[in-house]
Amino acid sequence: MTNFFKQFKNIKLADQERTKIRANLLAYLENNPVRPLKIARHNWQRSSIFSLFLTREGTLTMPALIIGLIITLSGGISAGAAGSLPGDLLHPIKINVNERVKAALAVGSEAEADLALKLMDERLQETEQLAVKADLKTELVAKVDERFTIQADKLKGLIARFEAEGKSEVAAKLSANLNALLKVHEQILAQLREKLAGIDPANLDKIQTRIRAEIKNAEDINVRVETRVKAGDQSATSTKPDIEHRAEAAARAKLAAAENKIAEVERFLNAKKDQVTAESWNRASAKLDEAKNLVVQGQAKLETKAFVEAFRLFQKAHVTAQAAKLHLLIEHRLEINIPDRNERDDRDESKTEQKELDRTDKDNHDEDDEDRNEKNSDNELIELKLNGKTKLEVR
Amino acid sequence: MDQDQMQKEKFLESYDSYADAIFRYCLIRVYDREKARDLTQDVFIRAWDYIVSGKEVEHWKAFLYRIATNLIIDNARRKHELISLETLMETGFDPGKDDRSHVDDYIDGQKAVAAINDLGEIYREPVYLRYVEDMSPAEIAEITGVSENVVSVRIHRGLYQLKRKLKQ
Repeated sequence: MTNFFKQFKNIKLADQERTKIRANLLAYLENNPVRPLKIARHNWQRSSIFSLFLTREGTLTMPALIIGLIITLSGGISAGAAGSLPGDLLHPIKINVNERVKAALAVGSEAEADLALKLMDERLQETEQLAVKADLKTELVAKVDERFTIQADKLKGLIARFEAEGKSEVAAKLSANLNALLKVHEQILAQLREKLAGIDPANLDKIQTRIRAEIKNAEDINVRVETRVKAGDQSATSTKPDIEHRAEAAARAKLAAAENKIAEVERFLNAKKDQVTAESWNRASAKLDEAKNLVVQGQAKLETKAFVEAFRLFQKAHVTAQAAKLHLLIEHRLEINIPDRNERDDRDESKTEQKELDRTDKDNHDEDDEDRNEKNSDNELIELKLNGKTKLEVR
Repeated sequence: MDQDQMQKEKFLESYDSYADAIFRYCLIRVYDREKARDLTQDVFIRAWDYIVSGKEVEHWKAFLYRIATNLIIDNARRKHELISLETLMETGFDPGKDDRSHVDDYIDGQKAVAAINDLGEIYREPVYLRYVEDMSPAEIAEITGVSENVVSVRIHRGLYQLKRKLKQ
């Protein structure tokens, strides 16, 4: 019996894993120190940064006192940096300190992917906030562009890494979510441009062009990942029942993910109902209903064993639900109403004849782009749940 | 040495001593190496937050296992995962190397994990903690929240069931 239990002792963290977690914990400890017992925490000491300015006896030095007051009044450097925008004094702290700590703690592929998307969303929301405040100056545009590029490159690197590690599923999910995120923000920026006076169109042009380029990249990545998955799917050792079984498993997994996402967004909408305008809420709710309809359509396809079609519909439902949440979040944060594509089309139709005659070639070109993007989103990849999870490394 | 430094050293010592055990404990319950790794890190982060809040830890081992148990339960509730033998086998879970050199007492890692997980929830934990992690009934009682006597009974019954399963 002793040997039976001995088997378990072989299960350990790999050296690299242990070292990485230790390093992450050290970073966490640095940012969250223990308060010395001798020094009572006064109400006005809001930040642990005070411990840096204490003498051995636990008293504050004069310069430290002055600095400490400044920090206290600003509510603590790290906490205050969280809401800063490009051009603000604390924005470098947000990028170089806060976000580095988050990155250190994001262990595991999914956690890294989620954080990378979240940071991309942050960068774009900052841009939109600046635009709403009519604060998107030329000198800031270069900074915004640089940060956006860094984050976009990180995401592309992550996707490539996941593909190389054989995690096609995670790569596919990340590229699909990135695509959805970029499209929502592209739409928002286009609407801001139309709605708000005082925005220098040249400044927005550059950012919008970058976003469109990244959308194109994300779509190319989708195709690449799909091709890879399909190539693996058609390997010599796969039989037709194997492929069908995996496609069904993938479609059902995607259904579960879509249903979870819809439930999450529904809870979110209900929680935010009193905090947003009725118009915004109804729009988000309508988008969520669209997602639910897509699930129903997908379920019908499942029953007729059209697993590929079902998968695509569930994928679209997932992305649509996510877009509903994003729209509401961003509208609330920016305190503006951003009409949905369909509503915008309805308003276009009721434009005066003169406005129709005034439509420029550029307006026509933008609409063509939208149609193309819509079509491409229908050709989303198939996510096959690869058989088996990652094998454990043991000594 | 100031208090912060002392606490840090003690904390890191605990990490060095117990990280593998906590990881193993998490892995046996969630069957996913990445998740187990994330949970292991979370356990130690929670432990540090506890210290930062001004509290003292008397028995590190039991304390860490308690946090791990709670996190595993939270994780299972969030993901609605049912941990079953079928899931284990289907996902090709393979926690250990086969050591064919010990043929007479040979049980491969996969079967070992499968066997112990086939026990009911109330027996699995005390048996695992007693015989794999070498914990005393008193320590196990502290983790599971039941009396020492109950722990001893469960260990005895769990071991009996395990032996019967292994003979089959």
